[in-house]
Amino acid sequence: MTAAGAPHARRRLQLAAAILALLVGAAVLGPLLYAVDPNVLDFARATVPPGAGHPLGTDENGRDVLARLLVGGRISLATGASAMLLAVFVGTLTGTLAALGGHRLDALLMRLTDAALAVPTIFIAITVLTFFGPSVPTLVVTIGATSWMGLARLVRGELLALRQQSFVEGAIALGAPPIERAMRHLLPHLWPTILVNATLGMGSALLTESALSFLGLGVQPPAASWGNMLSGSQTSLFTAPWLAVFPGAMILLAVVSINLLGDALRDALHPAE
Amino acid sequence: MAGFLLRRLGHALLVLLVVCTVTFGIVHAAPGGPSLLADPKLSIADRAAIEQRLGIDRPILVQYGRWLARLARGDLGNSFLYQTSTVSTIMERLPNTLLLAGAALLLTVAVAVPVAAWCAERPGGLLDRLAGALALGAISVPVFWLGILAILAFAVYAHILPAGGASDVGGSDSIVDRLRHLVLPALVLAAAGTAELFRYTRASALAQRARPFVRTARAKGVPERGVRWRHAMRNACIPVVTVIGLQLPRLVGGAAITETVFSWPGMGRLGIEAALARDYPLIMGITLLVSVGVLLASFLVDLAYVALDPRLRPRA
Repeated sequence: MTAAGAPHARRRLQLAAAILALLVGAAVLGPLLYAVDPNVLDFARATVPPGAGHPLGTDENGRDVLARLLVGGRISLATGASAMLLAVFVGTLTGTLAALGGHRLDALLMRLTDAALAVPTIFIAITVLTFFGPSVPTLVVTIGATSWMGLARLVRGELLALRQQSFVEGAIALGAPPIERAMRHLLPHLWPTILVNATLGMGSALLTESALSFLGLGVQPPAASWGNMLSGSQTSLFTAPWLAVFPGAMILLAVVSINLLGDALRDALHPAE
Repeated sequence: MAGFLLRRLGHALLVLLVVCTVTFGIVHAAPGGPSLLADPKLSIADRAAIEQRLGIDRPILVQYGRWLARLARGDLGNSFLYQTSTVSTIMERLPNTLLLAGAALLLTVAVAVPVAAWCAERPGGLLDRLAGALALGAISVPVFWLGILAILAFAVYAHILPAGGASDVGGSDSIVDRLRHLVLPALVLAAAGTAELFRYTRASALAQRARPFVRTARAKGVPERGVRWRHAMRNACIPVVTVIGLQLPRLVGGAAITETVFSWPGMGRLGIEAALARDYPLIMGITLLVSVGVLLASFLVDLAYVALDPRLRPRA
């Protein structure tokens, strides 16, 4: 970014961080402050439009939408963050092993990465989730296991370039063992890449979680997540459109602020593309 | 050049074999069987008979060997769900997916590239900021929610467009009818890809416009249109081609959610149904087909590089 764009970028960064802090705060503290049970069924007051008593209305089982949004935010954000951490770990490990583990390991791991990129992951994810039964841990592993490939390629590429640098040759000359070389001399240079990739990865993990939950394969009712609150909403579009609007708006808000943050970090840290 | 092509082909076949092996392993090694076996009223003998008929009573390596041998003859087995040949079941749905994906890709390129070229000339301008904000929203929105909102706005409230399906039931099946059904799913499917392509193209064009050969072209008196398209955009298009290549498979495979929301009778929705019903042959067939598409797309990207940038031509 040019110098003229810098204050603008800082404002975006502040805005994104503020929205994100608000969302995380609402998810963590909201259920404590808004003391309405998100799981209590009340069929006499099913699909009540937003208004007094239920600020965001009730769903088809008479549960309070606002209470479910707040509790669901916990599950959605935690699932997205865990899946992202897993993907970052697998991606960094694969890329590091490929770059530093010798030619044959490199070829093997990179063909595996190519294969994982070529597979339509949504079908594999659905297959795995139907086989093992949908649950939050399965969801985290499935999303993490299908979204590490981009980072693996980036890490490998950067490490291959870094290896040629003279400070690495210096470390070799000083007799640093390979593990120490990787941990102390190489990986610290990858922080910008990993940080930016992790931020943007958190956004896409949230989107995948919501899509799988929408298909009924994610977080299982009665527990709420932003995605599974939407799974029944399409059938009641005509009668209760607010059921479709609010949870999606939360996902959109969260992912927009995460992506803004990721873009701003990229501009600030300039990692290699 | 021939050597380069052959090497790429061998590489692609190897990746395909890895895809088949890993997918086959995940699908078959997971606990639980096809949904046909889920009926609790089945006796043990019935179950054994079904397992034998489907060929899933044998050891997994034998099953894999048989599957590969049949694949070599172009036979993907019969779908458990539809009892018909996997190949014909997929082929029945494929044209709908190609129509939807093709329309979305056309929209993506037709919107993203010109808008990006315009924005790169006036960075920070009103249109640039507006397009940037829209693009950020489009890559951040869950595609199924965008679909639901589109149905809510255009079908439920405005009654302008149909809410789903590929044509009216019992309708005339006219071109106008088909197009009316295509508009919403194509727009929704195109949204994220358009935003991504816009962002890459804009960044790439911005970088190209700062380079000396653009200044030279201007100094020579090349008209601004020529500078924009012949000099700046042609070079800016090299990373753009990569992004389009990466999007092709996602359009075909990733259309699954859009197809589900709009009840579009395509291959993606078929894949979701197959995965939900644990229909092994159909899952394998669709995965294989999409993977071939991905590899083909990345091969086309390599060829496009060569066409766009002579420096990348492999030395004979």
